[in-house]
Amino acid sequence: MPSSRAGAWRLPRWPPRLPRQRAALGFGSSATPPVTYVLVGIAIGPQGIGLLSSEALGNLDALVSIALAALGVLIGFGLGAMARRQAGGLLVSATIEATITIAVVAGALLVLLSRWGLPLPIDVRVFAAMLGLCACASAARRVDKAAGTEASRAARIAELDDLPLVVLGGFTVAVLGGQAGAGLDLLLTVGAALMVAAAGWLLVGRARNEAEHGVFVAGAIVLLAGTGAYLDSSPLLGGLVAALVWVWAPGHVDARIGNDLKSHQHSLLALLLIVAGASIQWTIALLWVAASLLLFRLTGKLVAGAVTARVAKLPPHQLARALVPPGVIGIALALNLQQVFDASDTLLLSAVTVAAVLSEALANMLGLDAATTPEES
Amino acid sequence: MADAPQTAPYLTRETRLLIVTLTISAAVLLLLAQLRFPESAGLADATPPPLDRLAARASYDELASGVARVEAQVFPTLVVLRLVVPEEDAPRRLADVLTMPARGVGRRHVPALRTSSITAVAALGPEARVTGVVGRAEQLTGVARVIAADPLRRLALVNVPQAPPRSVATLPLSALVTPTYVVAIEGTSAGITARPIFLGNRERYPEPRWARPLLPLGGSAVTPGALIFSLDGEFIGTAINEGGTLAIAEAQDVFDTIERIAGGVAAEPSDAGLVVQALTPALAIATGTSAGVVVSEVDPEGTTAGLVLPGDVITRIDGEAVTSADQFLLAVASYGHGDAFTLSLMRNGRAMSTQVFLGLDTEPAPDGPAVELSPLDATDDGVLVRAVEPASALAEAGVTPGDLVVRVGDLDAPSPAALRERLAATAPGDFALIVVRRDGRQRVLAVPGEPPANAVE
Repeated sequence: MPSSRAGAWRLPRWPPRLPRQRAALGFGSSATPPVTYVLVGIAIGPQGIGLLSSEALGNLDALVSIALAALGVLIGFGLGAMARRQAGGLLVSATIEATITIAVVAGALLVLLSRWGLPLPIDVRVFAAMLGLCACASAARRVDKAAGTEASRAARIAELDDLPLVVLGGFTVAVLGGQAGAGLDLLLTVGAALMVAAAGWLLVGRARNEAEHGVFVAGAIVLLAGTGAYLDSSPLLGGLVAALVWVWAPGHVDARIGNDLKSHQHSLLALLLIVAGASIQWTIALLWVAASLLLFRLTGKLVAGAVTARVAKLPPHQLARALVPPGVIGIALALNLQQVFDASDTLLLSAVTVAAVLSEALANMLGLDAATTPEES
Repeated sequence: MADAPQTAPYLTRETRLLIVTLTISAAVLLLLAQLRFPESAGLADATPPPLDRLAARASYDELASGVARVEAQVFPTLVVLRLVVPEEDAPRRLADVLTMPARGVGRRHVPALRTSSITAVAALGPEARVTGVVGRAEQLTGVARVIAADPLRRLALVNVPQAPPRSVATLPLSALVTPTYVVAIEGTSAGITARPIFLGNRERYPEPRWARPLLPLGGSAVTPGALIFSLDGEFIGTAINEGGTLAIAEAQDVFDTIERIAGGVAAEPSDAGLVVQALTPALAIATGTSAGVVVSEVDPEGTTAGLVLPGDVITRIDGEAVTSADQFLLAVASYGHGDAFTLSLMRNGRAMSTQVFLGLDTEPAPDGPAVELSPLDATDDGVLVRAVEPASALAEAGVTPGDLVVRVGDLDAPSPAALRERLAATAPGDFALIVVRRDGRQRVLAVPGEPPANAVE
């Protein structure tokens, strides 16, 4: 009986399995699939049973900023860990992959949105670029050692493609939200994050007991979120910058802060996803944009995977498996951008969230989240 | 039998799958790009009101940012001229104050576009009296003044306070895609204002005074003389009032006019010595012509003397059909001195054509504000001014033909010689006070002194 060839893609599977454990850069894997939280948010949101009303969603803004800052810090720690493992080549591959994905998605959406004449809250070019940014996040399944180095490297590329997204997203937020000009706003974001990071480093490094330590870590994260909200900048980027300072500063502050944050990471992630799910406004425009985003994200990821596979010397199918499943960082960035816009329009956030759920389902149906290669099975 | 060696396929399955995905995506992209977001009532209702509001707000935001961009880009190249309108320095009674001026009358501030570090172009006629620029200490003379003006197109080159020259990009009207929003720059006592106006018209129309077609402004409430810019900061043209119709005259026409009058080309337009009248049905039958204008008078000293006769019907000028007397005269006036044009005529039922050369303007451009006193007539009450040379001291003071100078300094009922003497004795920088009688009212005017070389002829 002929055995399946290496690299062969399976036919869509029905009914789909529940999504496997996924993790973003710097995150531990979760037993609960992230999509579940989005569905919970949709169910309890204003357009669901109304448990989470529009007013309540507005009141959660501060918590969302804190969660975004914490997410940025965790991504920074993950990047630091990658850097220690000499993952420069993988970062280059991830940047190439992210660039191609953003170009394909933003280009296609720009053409469509311009032609459709869809009412948008901002300039169509910026809107398409933001959709491209949010769509480039990937979340590979956490691979075990048995999966081999190729699967492991592919998973790392999928994790590292969050980095351009956070940096470019931070720049976009600074451009859209700032009042003093893009360059100055970006400098303010980075400068404020550096100052908070320095303060956090001094305080956490001198904490005398666990209680003090916890208060200092929480204070630093809340301060990062607060400065981000005050400056209308990106708490994600602020958190990333602060984390990199803590990684490279002496005293192993990163390990101590990381341990504290990791115990809360899933709660914060759940909060972000529930808020994103509850914020979805079901409109015709949303369906048009989300369906297009789903299709062109898949195209972008496949094209980017094919190109990056040559650069990283990986089998294309291996990389595609890692890239097609969507990452929660894209939803987080959409939430951040949403904070910068008027809160009454959630087309961007809704489209990114719905497309992420659909991409997850598509990846599952296509068997792209398989844990192992055919030979290994 | 040994198995034949397996060769790798030229295209792997993944590559084939990628090609299929790309093909499908491209096809879907093309298909989806043909769609339009539904705006029908049923589907539009599904869109929540906030989205509609935000869509409208987005366009206003874009407009506001466009205007702000134009302001930052263009304002350094602009200056607002302060004018003295004829009524402003006239003797006034309470009834005059309480009378609402007609629209367009009493315009006091006009925007001007810098063409060099010390000159600017503005939509002004030769009679305009510029006294200064907004934002500078006001003075009677010297801060800004009209150097030369084109009475036909009513554009003037104005001397303005020095500022670093900045270039402005222009946008031809033919390249302007309408309907669109543009920015109208107007002058106020507080300085320059910029506001967006909507241009809905697509059709341009020819106007004999201008080389290029005009774009009608429709119902846009724009002050004549406003400068029109695109949202990208390109100079489109000047708002003009042509026979009651507001329109935009193209930027290149504006610059061409300024170049011409700055070069000393005669400002006075020529009528070629012709007086014409409309072709009535009776005249059409009598002359055997269906269109054109009838020549009613030919100046024996004019350039057309001997070429055109009273009773001729002019049907075309340089190939362009003549439709009305005004259009014909404006077309003639648009030619400069030294130019030539061809007239198509009907004389005694026979078609003919003749070429007309407008005489070269031998009168040199004034090199100083010379005072022309020769056209002064003595009367019992004083000196009757019959003509005032443009850019002269008398013109600058506001003296107009028909004024009766009843007093100069402390001398009542001066003679022309006395008036000449008093004005010539006024030192540069000083003023001679004169009292003139105009329309039954007396007014006091200040005539600036001039350098001895230019003082009195």
